[in-house]
Amino acid sequence: MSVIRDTNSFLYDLVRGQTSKMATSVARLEEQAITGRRINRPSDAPTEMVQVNRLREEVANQEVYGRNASWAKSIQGLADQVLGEVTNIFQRAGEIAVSMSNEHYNADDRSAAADEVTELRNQLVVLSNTDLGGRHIFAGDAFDTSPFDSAGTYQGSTDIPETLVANDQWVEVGFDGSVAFQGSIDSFQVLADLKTALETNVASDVQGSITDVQDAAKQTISARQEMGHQYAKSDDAELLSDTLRAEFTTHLDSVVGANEGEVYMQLQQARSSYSAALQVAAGGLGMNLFDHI
Amino acid sequence: MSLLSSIQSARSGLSTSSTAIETTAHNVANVSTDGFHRRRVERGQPEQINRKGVHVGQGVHATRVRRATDDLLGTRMFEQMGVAGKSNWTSKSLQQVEAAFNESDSSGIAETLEQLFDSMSRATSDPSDSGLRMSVVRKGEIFARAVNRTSDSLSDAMSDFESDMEEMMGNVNSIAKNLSQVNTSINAVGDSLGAGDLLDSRDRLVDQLAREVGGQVDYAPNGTATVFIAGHAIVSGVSHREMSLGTDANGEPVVEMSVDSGNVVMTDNMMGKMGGLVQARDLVKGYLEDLDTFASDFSDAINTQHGSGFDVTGAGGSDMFSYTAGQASSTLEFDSTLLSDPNGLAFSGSATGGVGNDDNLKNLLSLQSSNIFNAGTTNSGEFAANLISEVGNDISKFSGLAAAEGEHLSDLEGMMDSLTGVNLDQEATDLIEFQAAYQAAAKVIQAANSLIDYMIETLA
Repeated sequence: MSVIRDTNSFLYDLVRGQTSKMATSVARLEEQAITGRRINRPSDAPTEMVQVNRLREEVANQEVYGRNASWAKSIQGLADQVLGEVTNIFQRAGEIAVSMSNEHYNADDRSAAADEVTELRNQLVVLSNTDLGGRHIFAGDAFDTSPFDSAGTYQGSTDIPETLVANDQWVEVGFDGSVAFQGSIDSFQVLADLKTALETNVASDVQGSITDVQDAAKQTISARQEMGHQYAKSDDAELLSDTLRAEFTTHLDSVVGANEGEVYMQLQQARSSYSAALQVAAGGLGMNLFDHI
Repeated sequence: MSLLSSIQSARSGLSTSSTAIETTAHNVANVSTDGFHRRRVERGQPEQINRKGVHVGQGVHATRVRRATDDLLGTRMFEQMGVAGKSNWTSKSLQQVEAAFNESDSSGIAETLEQLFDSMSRATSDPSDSGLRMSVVRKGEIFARAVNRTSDSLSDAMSDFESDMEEMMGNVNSIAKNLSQVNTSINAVGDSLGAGDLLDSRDRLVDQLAREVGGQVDYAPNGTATVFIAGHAIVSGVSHREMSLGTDANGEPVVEMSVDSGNVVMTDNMMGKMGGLVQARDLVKGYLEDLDTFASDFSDAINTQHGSGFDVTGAGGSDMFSYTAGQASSTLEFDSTLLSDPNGLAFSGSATGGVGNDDNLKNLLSLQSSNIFNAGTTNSGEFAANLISEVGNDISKFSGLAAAEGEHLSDLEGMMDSLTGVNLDQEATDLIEFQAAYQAAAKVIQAANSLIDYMIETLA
């Protein structure tokens, strides 16, 4: 059996080394308690840094996705509202066409109806040129200019702008007016034709325009359905981004964050040990036989 | 035995005890002296004399003052000092650069890169919005500055390491010279009573040399030390060799030793603090090279994609980033024209596209997940995260290694200290023993003297 002979310098070195380690340990725990983070530098958890960065990236991504989705919803919501009003226009135009196709009405009645249809067409032009803060929602990606002139000629773009609302998921934040209003049938022309039929006071011509008015209404409803689909996608994306952001944040906190209760207990323990070691060192190292002879 | 010879024997006891007390005093006085080895008085008996057929002892005498030591353990300990010192200084040095990769304050390269792509992602909601465009160019500038700042921190650290290495050379040469001079003195004095302090000085210098540059020590029977580094003696007997910091063909610093045939490069053989600095510098250089690759590859990919798009006027996209080849990370810069006029950002995929055309913006955004690094296996975020992780791993690895090697060194030092250090309790008991021996010898002299006095008075 080997016997280790403890020398005075050995004891002093031991105290120096151990108290230094304890002081470092206390300082690290205090840092965790103050910052609330277990990982304060790459070397604290090098193997987890890739995961930490990925989670931070995900949290940041979800924030942007959420804002983009919210923005998309504001545009899509406005477009839905506009198309709802356009639907009302064609409902009213349909009512006029049905009633004025009756032989009972005379030229004056149809002339008054023609004036109302003219007004409806003007409303349609205004609605098709709706903008949100200067951004024309039915101009495709050329949203800085009005998509339709007073004649109903499309001047916008057929390219639809999109925004990113999730990983590789895009939603439309503008619409091709030539499809919404002039896809299968030219909505402006339908109203113009109805107006002409009313002005010429030919009941059969008025009756003949009913189908076109109904088709224009169906076209609007179809566009509105597509809008609703886009809105639902944005809504889902916004909800998803909120959920994922919360989940990723929670996960990130669980990886980076310190367990406050545990850190507090460890800190108390480390401080107690450190204090005890200092007391032992201060009291015990001064003792030797020379004091007693 | 005659009374007079009894007095002589007791006197030898007084003298030897006095030497032992003196040695104990020396031990006690040096209880806190670094590198001091405790001394013990070795006693011997003079040859007996034959007096009329009776063999009579002649008392005691101090044969030598032995310095407690273990050369084999010392050799292992000094070698371990170099090993532990290298790990320790590598760890300490790397910790200096860790702050450059701290991502907790949102100013690191990974975080700012993410912010750049986030600003692009946000711009997809309205590519024509000047505020969103401004955000993209600002985030681009912030990212470039983060890369510059990290690069500068790494370069500064390398310069600091080189300065430390340069400063160390003077110290190393001074230690080597002093050791050769101590060897000269040991040669002159020999292994006698007075050599103990010289041997302490010798070991302190070997200790310092081992902590600075490492090496292996060999002790000659006469007590002189020879220190080798990679087979070349930096100190051999009374001579020593100079070390210096030079540069290789690539301008990289190299540690050299001057030998008869010229200078020998010893960079890779360095241990101790010098070895740690060399190793840390190599690692930091690797980080810097990785950062340069990151900056240049990322810049090239972004520029290529941006160049295939069109700005709000329909003009082709210009370079978003610029850099100087070979020092991409330190010179990476966001284009100043784009900074002053974000309308130059080529988000559109068509020269005649609408203001909301973001086809090229989508392509730029897709670079975030494109594997444009490491032969198409890593995307930009992963590359940055891997680099940060690598730095953390290295620091953690060398901290652990330094702790383990340090523990091993502490064990060896503890063993050596157990053999050679001063224990005050032991010295106190020795003092009591030597004091008692001294007092007993004095009593013997007193008794013999009384008998002689009695005899003189009786015979008078």
